Amino acid sequence: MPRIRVADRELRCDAGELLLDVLARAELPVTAGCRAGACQSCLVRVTGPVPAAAQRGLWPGQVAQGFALSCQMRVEDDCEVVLGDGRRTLVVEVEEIGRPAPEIACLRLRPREPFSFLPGQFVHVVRAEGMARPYSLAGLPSDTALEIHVRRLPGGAVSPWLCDELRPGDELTLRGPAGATCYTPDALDQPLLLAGVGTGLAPLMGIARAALAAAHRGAITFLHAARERSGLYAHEALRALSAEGRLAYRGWVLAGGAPAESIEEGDATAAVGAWARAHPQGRVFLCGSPEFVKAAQRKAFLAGVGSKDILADTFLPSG
Amino acid sequence: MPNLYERLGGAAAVDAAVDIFYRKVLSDDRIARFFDDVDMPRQIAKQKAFLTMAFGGPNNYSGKDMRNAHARLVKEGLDASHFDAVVENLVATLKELKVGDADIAEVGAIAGSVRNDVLGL
Repeated sequence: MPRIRVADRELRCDAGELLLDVLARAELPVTAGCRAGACQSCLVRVTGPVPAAAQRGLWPGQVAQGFALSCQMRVEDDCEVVLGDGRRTLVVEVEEIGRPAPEIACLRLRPREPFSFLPGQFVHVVRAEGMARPYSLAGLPSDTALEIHVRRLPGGAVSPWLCDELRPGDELTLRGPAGATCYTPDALDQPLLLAGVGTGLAPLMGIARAALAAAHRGAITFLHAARERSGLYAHEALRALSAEGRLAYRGWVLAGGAPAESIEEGDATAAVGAWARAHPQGRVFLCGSPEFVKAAQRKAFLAGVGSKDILADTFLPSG
Repeated sequence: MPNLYERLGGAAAVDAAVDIFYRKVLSDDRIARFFDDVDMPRQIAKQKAFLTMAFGGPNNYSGKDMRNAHARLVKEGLDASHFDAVVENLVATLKELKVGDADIAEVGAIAGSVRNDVLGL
């Protein structure tokens, strides 16, 4: 009889029982929906082997974190189950505050304890009870500090505080990690497109560095778009990587920045569509405003990129 | 004797069909506005649930669930012409996947069986 450790309890069940049924019988908070593996309402995290049927349709990032569709998982072995998203609270110390552009701060945050995440995931900065904002992690788990990029939204409850009032040595409370728009080395030959607007650059930097560190063989194309030239705040670093042949970088500005070396003018989503037509077998990472994500993913999808290969993080301006 | 869902190929058939079906729907000016959403994964999940049901697969949605799920769209103008357009795209998807006429007719009948609930009639 397999044993399931969950929420400080140990449950027993018959081999072959559905995990969802075992959890529901124990009156644990797990949601049942279609019971057919389609709606993903019943997701839990499992430590231990997960049958493929219980991971069908999940993102590679979710598979890597051990997520499972409890309505599709027959329990055969002992395992540990985590309900909810498995996020935890972490205290960090502000190490450095960079100002790469007007209205953008790059915060380097040193964790007080080891903190693991998949490149491209995000954390919430918790300023106070009920006052939290999500920020994508821009670095790799192997870095000595976490890095987030904050756009200062005037009148916001959190971003002006992070940009104006924090000093090195201050403490911050984070909650995370979360998200499935992340790099996973499951298809090293697949061409990748990383396309983002504004601080959507942050998770893409982590994803690009992770792909390069994994010796990703497929060609990597990196598009960064901003309203104006000053918003291309990683331009020199990305041009250097491009010059080394490690990825192909193009910067895009909406208008008014005269096209220069590696910078084009106009709608970057057109470039997403063009890349997708040339690489329908590729994987696309999109990060930015809802307008950008909606237009870019539609172009990529209609050009033939599979829905399972379009990973998008929508940045909502919540201040 | 395998049932319709097994004959079509089960969950793997749904996976193969959903992108083809959703591309057709997004490109169909009659109905695209009901399906175009910034949250594409959520839309894809809904289409997978719909296809699973239409292929005769496991389905736990009641008529009331279908009514509630589409009530807002009905308020926004969803009507019989749109439902018929969706079924048209479903049939075209199955033809593209070389499904036989008899099985296509069976899928059409299952889809038709939820028509009144979807449209709130």
